[in-house]
Amino acid sequence: MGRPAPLPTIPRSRRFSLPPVMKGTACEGCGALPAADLLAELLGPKMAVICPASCAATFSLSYTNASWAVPFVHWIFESAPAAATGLRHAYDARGMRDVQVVCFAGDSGTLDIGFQALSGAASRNENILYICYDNEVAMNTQGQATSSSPVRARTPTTPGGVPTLKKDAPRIMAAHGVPYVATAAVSHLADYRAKLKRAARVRGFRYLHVLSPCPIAWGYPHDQTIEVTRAAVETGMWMLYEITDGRMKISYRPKRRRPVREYLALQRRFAHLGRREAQRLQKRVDESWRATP
Amino acid sequence: MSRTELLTGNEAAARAVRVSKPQVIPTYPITPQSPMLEIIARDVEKGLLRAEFLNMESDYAAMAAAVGASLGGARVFTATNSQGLLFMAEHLYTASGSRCPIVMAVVNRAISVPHSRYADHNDALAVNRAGWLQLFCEDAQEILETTIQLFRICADPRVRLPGMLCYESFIHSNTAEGVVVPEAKAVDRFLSGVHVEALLDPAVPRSLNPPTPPEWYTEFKFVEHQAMEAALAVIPEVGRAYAEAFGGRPRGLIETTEPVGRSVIVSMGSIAKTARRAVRELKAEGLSVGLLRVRAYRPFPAEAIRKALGEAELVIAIDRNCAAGSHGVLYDEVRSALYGTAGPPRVVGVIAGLGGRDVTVRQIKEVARRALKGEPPFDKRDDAIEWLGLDRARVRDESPQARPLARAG
Repeated sequence: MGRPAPLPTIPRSRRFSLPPVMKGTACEGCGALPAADLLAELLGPKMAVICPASCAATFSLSYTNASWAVPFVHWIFESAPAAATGLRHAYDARGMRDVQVVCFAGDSGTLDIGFQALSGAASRNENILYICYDNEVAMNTQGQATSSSPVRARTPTTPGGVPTLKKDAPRIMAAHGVPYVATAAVSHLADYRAKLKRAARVRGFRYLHVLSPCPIAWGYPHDQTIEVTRAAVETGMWMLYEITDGRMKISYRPKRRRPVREYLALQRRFAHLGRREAQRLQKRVDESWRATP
Repeated sequence: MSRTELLTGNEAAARAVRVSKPQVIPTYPITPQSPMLEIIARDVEKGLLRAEFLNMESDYAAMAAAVGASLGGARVFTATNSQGLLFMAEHLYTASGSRCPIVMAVVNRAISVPHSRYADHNDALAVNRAGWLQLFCEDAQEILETTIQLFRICADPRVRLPGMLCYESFIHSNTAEGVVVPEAKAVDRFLSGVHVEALLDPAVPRSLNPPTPPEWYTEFKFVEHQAMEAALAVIPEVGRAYAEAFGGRPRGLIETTEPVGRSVIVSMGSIAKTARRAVRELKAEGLSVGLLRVRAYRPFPAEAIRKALGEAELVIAIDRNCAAGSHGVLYDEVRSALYGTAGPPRVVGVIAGLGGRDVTVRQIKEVARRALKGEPPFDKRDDAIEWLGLDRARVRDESPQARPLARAG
């Protein structure tokens, strides 16, 4: 590959326009939607979903429409795992042990404002399935930076680029000693499907972290979500793995990793990066792969 | 068979919880509520109470879990106070808005800063608009009875709101008194109609808490308001039912001395109990002084108060709470309830017992005598408010005591 591919552009006026909140629908190209869809397909109808403030909460229900065919609650931002704990034990006390209690949350609800509740529920090894769909910004409020935003990405609150590294959520969760942690990506649905199935069979706290890009925040055409996600996986920027009872296993190892700059070039949020910065990111990715088992 | 035992307020609440059989108890420790939680944890461990006892990571999470459990159809109990209650504030609204009949003990404790572990009512009163019932107890017997009663009041189909059982840090929580404990089987019968609807039920899938447009939001709030008004009837109803089942006096919204007298002290919590004795002694001196104790502060029993104070000429509201730039809540709300009645009594206020400061029989008698005579500050026409026992020397700028945040040594 020679020069980076030309940047796909989205008119400035539309970049941070409000998603169609009151229609109870997702935006075109929403990466969270396939993550939710497969969950509903595989686990329903014996589950209840707790969804904290997020894009997903927005596309899940409006005042007149409900997207989920299972019990669903649009929950307060920072406490989905705590509410799930209560619900789990209510079901247990009432002999409804076969009902899955699921949290479906964005990266800010998971890793920033919701992190204490997440760590609490994981420490207690509550029997709940937690799915973080990661679009790497607080997109329900139009794309501000979160601790899950990748280093150097531009967001409305980090116009010069995120100065810090993306929080390594799955490994932090694994360090809690929970029985099952996995990463997934909406480009690799067979892998996500297999992991959901495995997670559903495990008892205790299960954590799935699904890369779910957002065309508006990341700055790519809305029909490119799968390609952009695939590029994240194929360049090694996003690693697919499982940690079962503390043992890490890579689920997919690209035969020959594509250069990171190809992933960066697909998105406007990295458009300001020069070659040296791209090289630094490449080095970081190479190092992280060298450290894998 | 009921029997009398020597119990602290915390023990009385824990004993009531054992016989009321909540199914899920999410907890987080805070002084001085934690001894109660330890008793409940032991009861669960020993199998005296079959419940899911949860050690949550914060008070906030405890209330989130309480709401989650209630939405799952469980009978739920929890407890907190002061900082913990304020930390929970957001989920207090989740609980009332979701119409969850959660019962929570609030061991009223002053709020930091300055730091204090002792009693006043500012914690519960800071959240008095959160849609929770708030019943204030005067002694351990009432703590036990109110705990049991709240499970029935809150889950009543006319109410379906969460409720706080309020009693005071150390004064109640750690002081032992003789308490008549009812038999477990009889409490089972008393609570047999209590049902918590599971709003999150896979058999009847619902989506809860949609973004609600302006066309609907008001109606939700009005329905909550109606439920709170219904509680004005349900609270005394359940109090009477309790007295019929277990003896003792029926407890309602307010309690007054008979006759209520021309001058009436209005208070709640432990100060009301102290004032009861002060009133007895003042009566012995030939003064026409009575007591009105507010038991139900939310819903506020304005009509019952108007009726009880119909003949009164002077009302002395003693508040164990304060709000900088405003007044005590009883002073404000009693005065507001009386406004517009024919020949309303004059209302004066006393701020007392903040941060656990003792309020004695002698002090109450003395302040009542001064109010009756119209001595300062009770000679003022409006906002005649005394800060009981205030040490002016400590408030002066030159005093090191006026800088309590930075005391050396």
